[in-house]
This record gives sequence, C-alpha cells and structure tokens, in this order.
Amino acid sequence: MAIIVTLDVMLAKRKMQSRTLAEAVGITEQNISLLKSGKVKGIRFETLQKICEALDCQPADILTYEK
Amino acid sequence: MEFTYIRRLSAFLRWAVIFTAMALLIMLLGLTLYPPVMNTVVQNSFGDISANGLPLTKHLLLSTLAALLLLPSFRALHMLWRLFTSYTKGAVLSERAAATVKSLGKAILAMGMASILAPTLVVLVLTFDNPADGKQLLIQISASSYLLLLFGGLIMTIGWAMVEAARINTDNKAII
Repeated sequence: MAIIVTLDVMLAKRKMQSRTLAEAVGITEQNISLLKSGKVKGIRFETLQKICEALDCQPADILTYEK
Repeated sequence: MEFTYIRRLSAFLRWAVIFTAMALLIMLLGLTLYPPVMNTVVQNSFGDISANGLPLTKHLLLSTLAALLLLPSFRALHMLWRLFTSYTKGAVLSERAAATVKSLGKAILAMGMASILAPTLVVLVLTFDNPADGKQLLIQISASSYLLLLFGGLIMTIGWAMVEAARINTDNKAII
C-alpha cells in the first residue's frame, strides 16, 4: 500500500518543466525533484493547491493510491 | 537568516563560557600550586578544624578533591560551549543541540551533588588523622545546592522537550 506521486506524468502532459513549476508554486526545484521521486513524508494542502493551479489539474491527477 | 538574535547572543555567550572556564582553571591551579591560597580558603570555611595549617598530604588530598568536585562544573561549561557553538551555526532545533541541553542538565545535577558532598569530604580529609574523639563528619545541604539540583532537573526536562521539538522539526522539513 502506497501513495504514488505521478507529478512527472502530469508535467509531461502539460509540457511543463520542473523549474517552471517550482517558480509557479514558490518552492525550490530540489523540492519538486524530491516530490517527483516520492522521497517526502507529506505535502501541504497549500502546496498541493498551488501545483493543481499551475498544472490545471485535480489532486487525484498527481497522487494515486496503490494496494 | 534564521534565528539571528539567538546566533548573535550565542556568539557572545560562547566567549563568556571560555572566560569562565579559564577563571575556574586558574582558581583550581591557585588552590593546587599555592598552599597559602588553599590554607586561606579552608580556614575561612572551616576555621577551627584547620587552625594548625595543612600538611602536604592533606594539601594533596584536598587538591585532588577540588579537581574531582569541579569536574561537573567543567563538564557543564563544555556542554554550554558546545550548545552555543551549535546555536551560533544556526542549528537551534537540531538533535545534537537537544542532546547537549540534556547533558547540560545532567552536569548541573552533578554540580548540585558535588556541592552537597564537598563540605562532608573536606571535613573528612581535614580530620581523618585526628584522635578518635576529634574526628568530625559534616553533612550540609544549602539552599544553593538544592537550587542547583532543581535547576539541573529543569534543564534536563527542557532537554527532553527539545529532543521532541528537534524530531518534529526534522519531520516538518520532510513535508513540502
């Protein structure tokens, strides 16, 4: 059971670079990279909201649950 | 820059700790290397017991005792120096700083115990070779010793709380 971050898929769909997203969200590119690799313990609603705004998507588009 | 005020104050306090450690060391060397200093200190504290002056054996024993009883103070100063060094570098909520606060509390507790043991041991050394009816045993717990014990306990508890704070801080850093 795990929460999988599919941010890289969404970035590819939107043809957006990590740097652009980092600037739009207001976090470092390194943090975007950590988020993409799933090496984080959690994500704040505030950050999630900004990512969804920047990518024009829903939280479920970047987070999936796998059994 | 985070914790600017703490960093500045710690940089100053680190020097104060170094100065205090040097003063304590000079005091210990004075007591050990200059018998008249030891005589004066002992006579001021335990007048009639040591009225005849101190023979070399007792001087050496008292010097060793002073060094041993001051060990917790040096340990506390070392912990303070380490803590202020961490704070100066901005590592305020680090696990290392929290562990240092805990060790500082333990050292202050040991200082309190040493201050309770000191008069007992000094009087034992001063009177151990007296005739049977001239030996003395002094047990003394002063308000300052009690406060040191209380303060040591407080600092140790704060140390435990700091360990939790450092853990939460580490967790928060892993949340984006």
